[in-house]
Amino acid sequence: MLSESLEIDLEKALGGRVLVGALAENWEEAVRLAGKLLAADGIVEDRYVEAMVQVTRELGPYAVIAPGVALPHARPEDGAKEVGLSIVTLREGVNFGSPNDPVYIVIGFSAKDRKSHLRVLQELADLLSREGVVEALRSVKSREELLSLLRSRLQRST
Amino acid sequence: MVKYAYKLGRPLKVVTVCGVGQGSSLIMKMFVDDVLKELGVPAKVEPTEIITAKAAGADAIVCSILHEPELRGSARVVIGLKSLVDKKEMKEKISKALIDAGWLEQVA
Repeated sequence: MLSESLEIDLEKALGGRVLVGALAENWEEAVRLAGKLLAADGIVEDRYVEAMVQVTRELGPYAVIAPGVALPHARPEDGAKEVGLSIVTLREGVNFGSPNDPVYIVIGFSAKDRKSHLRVLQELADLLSREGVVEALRSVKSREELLSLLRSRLQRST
Repeated sequence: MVKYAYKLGRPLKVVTVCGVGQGSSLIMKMFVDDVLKELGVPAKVEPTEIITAKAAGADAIVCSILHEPELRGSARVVIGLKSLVDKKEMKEKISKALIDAGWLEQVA
């Protein structure tokens, strides 16, 4: 199932959309930063960005999937055009009202259907479940450093 | 390594639940699949969102602790997770819940 050719990997889904050491007043602003990176590359329509905020508000702080890490996303019909990710690291944590607050890593996510993003999510989950990765992501000082950290931590499935 | 015996006599029906049904629920499914395999539990694990989960007739629901109160009662076993990517937490909570339900027995 996971070898379907239409599935793309995490690095490709991320496409270098990374913002390191950003400042956000609150969770809404942090989510918008991640969403705008996706919109700027045409991965999502502009309306998807506000939908991300709206969905997170409606459904509660479930978007915070692990201590310090949020994965906000909206629905495919909210203007998702491609499978895509973006990563924003925050200089100061923001609270989502989650037991996993404060959040320092916001991973914007878009999927255009229910299938093509499986591999990306799997790689992401695998990455985040490894010890020390969240702390390492939090401490990077530049975009290049973050991208090279990801590259070194992503085990290629052969 | 602890060994378990599965007692239910049919595959366990599990739903993993998040708000939209395509992000966190998929992430949980991947880990839950792994954990159940390690526990020797045959299972069908479906990612879904809250409304569908309530009517799914599942044996077990795995969700964020934030959704646990709302989903309690929608399945015999409801497991709330703090981190959705912490396999250790999942394995501990899932094995305990299945043992409490009488579906799993520690044999060695």
